[in-house]
Parts: sequence; structure tokens; C-alpha cells
Amino acid sequence: MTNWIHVCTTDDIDEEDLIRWDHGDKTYAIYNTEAGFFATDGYCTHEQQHLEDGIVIGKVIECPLHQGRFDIQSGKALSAPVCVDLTTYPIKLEGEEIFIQVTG
Amino acid sequence: MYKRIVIIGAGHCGGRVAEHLRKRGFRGSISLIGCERHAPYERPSLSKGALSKAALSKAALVSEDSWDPESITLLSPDKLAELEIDWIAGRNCIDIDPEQQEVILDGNKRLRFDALVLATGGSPIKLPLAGAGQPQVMYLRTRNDATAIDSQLAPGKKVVVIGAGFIGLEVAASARMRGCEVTVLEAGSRPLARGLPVQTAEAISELHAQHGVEIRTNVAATSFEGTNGRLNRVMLLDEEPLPADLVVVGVGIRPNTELAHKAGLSIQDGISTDAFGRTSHPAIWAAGDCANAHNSRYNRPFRLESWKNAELMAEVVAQEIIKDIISNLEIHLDSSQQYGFFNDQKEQLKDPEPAKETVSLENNAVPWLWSDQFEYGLQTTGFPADGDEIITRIDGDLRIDFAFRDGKLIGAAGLAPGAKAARDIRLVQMMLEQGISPEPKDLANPAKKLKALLKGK
Repeated sequence: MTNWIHVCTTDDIDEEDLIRWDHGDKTYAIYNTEAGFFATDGYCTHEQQHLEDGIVIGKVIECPLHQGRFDIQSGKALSAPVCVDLTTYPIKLEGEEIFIQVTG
Repeated sequence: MYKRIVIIGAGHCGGRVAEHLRKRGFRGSISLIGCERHAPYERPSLSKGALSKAALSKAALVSEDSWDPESITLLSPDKLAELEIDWIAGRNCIDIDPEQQEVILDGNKRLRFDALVLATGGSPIKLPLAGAGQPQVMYLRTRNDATAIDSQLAPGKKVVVIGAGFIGLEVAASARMRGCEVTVLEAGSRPLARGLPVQTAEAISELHAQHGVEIRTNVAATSFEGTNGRLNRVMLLDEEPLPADLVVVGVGIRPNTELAHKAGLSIQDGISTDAFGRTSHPAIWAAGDCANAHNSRYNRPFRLESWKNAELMAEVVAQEIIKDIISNLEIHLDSSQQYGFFNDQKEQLKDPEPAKETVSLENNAVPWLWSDQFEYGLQTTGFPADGDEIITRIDGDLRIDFAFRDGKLIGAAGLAPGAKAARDIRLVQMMLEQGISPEPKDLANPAKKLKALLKGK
């Protein structure tokens, strides 16, 4: 089954930035971009590096370790060395509250 | 005709060239010649995780004994086969015939090429000292080197590292994490003189001191003494001998230019290339540690020994070879590939479409590198050691030293636990790419966000 789970409020994430959010045994990256709020897996698909120290450039997240890039909205891997897409998760806003849909 | 591409050097850069050629649709033969038995792999972990057995920059997250040797493999033998890359392992290339466009392997096997890529890397500079031939005097460049050093590390072992550069200090940190007693000897007056400003280097020295690693500067080793084939001490100039079970020498590499020299290519601290990796021979390219590439942004050549440079030059060279193929109206490109340029040959003839994003040394060549030591990650961009003024920013446990020269920002070095320095250093790299030089007082003020300064706010 799927659940909507409360993450944080919109003020908790700076514009063009991201935060780390841990839930259960998983960790996520929650983004505030010019195109809205989004969520992906927390770890880069290249090596076990969390994206929280990475940089958001427009709609792109760049990993802090090797500067591999992903499209935040689609999770698509954009440039070497990353070649496996990031898993994305639906986000909804209720007022200023951000919710994420995760399975299980 | 571009039917045959030969790549000499099956390391990170050579492997990536082959991969990018296929990704961009090249369907001819690719021969990838490596003198090692290992499939192409990435080197950064050899001095870090491979020796410490922990993922250093993630020490807080990942426990020890979690390092997987296969994690550094760039292209596995299966992947090479899938990409139809003819990987010739364990063979040395002994000569190049630039007239006939052939490379000659040991055993006198000859391979014709339409384009040749030299990704020959570098070799550790050897110390010409008495006793340096003993097996416990080691160098670190290859996966086998790392395995050999790893097998010698154990709690209480006395390890002497010669050379306080990035590799030497990473080995020192790794050995210390394994419980060794570690001393680093540096012949110069300070560590990391080539890559870092003195302020950052002092912070790293302090980090080593806190972990019990002694870094001694202005100390020259003169010979290595052993008994019964077993190293036991390092003799020093004007100082007491130093007991040692193991010596690891990290005093830099020399670019492997012998083949380029034989081929008559232009050489100057590495194989000279234009801004796209082309050497003085129109069918021969060079990339990675061995290449001294002209950079239009800085209007001078430089040779970089970094992971990022291997990645970037591999992509640039593959792209330029593909461009060459297009301009020669060749047809060995697979239009079904993601990076294929055209749907059919006719379109190719009249309107070749450039790749989605052109990579060039001009656009991407502000240097960037990282080093991991203990639980700290260092990242640098630009030329942080070349400043005439250093501005320091302290933001909690994140330290950034900005280098200015003639009043202009030219580089920065960031040091922090884990990957916390990455974002700000990336922002500085973007400032350098865009020619933005914020006020020193703003950079020194941690309340001023670098992202805002990048945007001129």
C-alpha cells in the first residue's frame, strides 16, 4: 500500500536547494527547485554517497563526490560518471506542509 | 576511413574513451591495450578505501571492512565484451609507426589504426637511493601496488611515507586507520606545496597530528637499510635514522611519454595536445595524466593528474574523433544509439547534428579534485596554491581558503568532515568558470552564502 507521509514545511528547504530526510531504513533527498518540490532516493546511484551535500542547479542535482548529474524531476542520469537513474517519489503540498508518497 | 581505433592504456581514461566512442555511435573496431591484467578501473580509492578498508569520506556512515575491491572497476570484462571492445590485457605496446599508422605490441604483433589514442598515464618517480630496491620500499600507482601495500599494513607496524603530497598523505591516513605507526617525511619546507595554500596545508597537518601521524618537513632520506633482506630503517641526512617496517614513496609521477617520443610527437611535460586532445600528428590523440593539453580559458597548456581530468579528456577526445569521422563523411556510426548523430547517411552528409552538449576543455576545464584523509574530505578548484593573498572562511567545521592573485579569485580549497566542502567548492568552480570574483570580505563572511555571491547578490 502507499502512504502520504509528512516530511517538513516549505520553509525548511531553501530555494534551489535540498535536504536529507530519513524515514524507516531509507533515506531520501527532498528538493526545492524553480519547478517545485521533488523527492528522490538519497544516495547517488554511482557510489554510496548521499546527495545532501550536492548542489542544485536549476532542475539538476549534482553529486558532491564526482559531479555526476541527475534530473531532479525525472531522476534521469544526465552525465558521466552516473548512468543509472535515481528513483523518484511523488510529493504533494497541503498549504506549506510537504508530503511524500512512499511504498510499504 | 575510420574503421579502427586503437587506445593505448586501459586505465580509467582509456576505458572511458572506448566507452564514449561506443555511446556516441562508433561501430568500427576498438582495441584497448593495457599492460595490466585488470580491466579498466578508477584509481582514487587505491590510496583510500583499498588501504584503509573503509570508505574514508563516509567514515561516519560506513563501517570498516566495507570496502569492495570490485567497486573500482570501470568496465568489467563482461561489459567490455558487450560493448565489443577488444581488450588486449597484459601486453605492452613497444612502438608506434606514425607513417604506416600502426602500433607494435610485444611479440611484434602489429595493429593498424585510423585513429590512435594515447592514454598511457604516468609512472611513479623512483628514489635513486641505496637500498630502494628492497621489497618493503613500495610505490603506489596500480591496483597490484595497492594490494601489495595493503598486505603489509597491520597494527603496530612502523610505516614511513616519503613525500607529503596528496598520495603520500592519503596513504599515511589509511595506514594510521589500520593501526600503523606512521611518519611522513617531506624534503620541502611544507606539505602539499604543489596543490594547496599554506593555510589549508597547515589545517591538514593538524588533522594528521590529531590522529597521531607525524609529518616532518625539511627531512631528506639518504638510504634504506635492512638485514637479511628485511628493511629496518631509513637513513636521514643530518638526523637520526628512523626505524621502519615499510616505506611507501609518493613523490609524484612522470607522464609516460616514451611511445609518443618514438612516434616523433611534440612533448613538453607530457604529450602536447591542442584544446581537444589532438597531438602534433593528426591521427593521434592523447588524454589523461600523460597529456599536456592547451587550455584556451587560461591560454596556456597544463597537465592535470586527476580523476576529473581523465573523465573530461576522455569525453572530449571521443567527441572529437566522432566529429572527425563526421567531417570525413564516414558511416561507421550507429544511428540507433542514444548519442547517434543522424538517422541516415544522407542526413549525415548535409546536416550533421552536434552532440546534445558539447564538452570542451574551455568550458569545463577549471580544475577540480578531491582528497580524503581520515574523516575529512578536501576539495579544490582552480589553482589554490598560486595565490598572492589567501582569504579564509570558517563556517562551523567547514574551512575554505580562497586564493586571490592580482586582486582576482583564482582558486579555493575546502576542508570539512565527509563531503561537506563539496557544495561550496562547486560554487567557487562556477564563479571561476563565469569569471566572477566576489569581494574578499564577503567570501570571508560565512553569513554570506556563496550561491548568492555567485548570482551577484
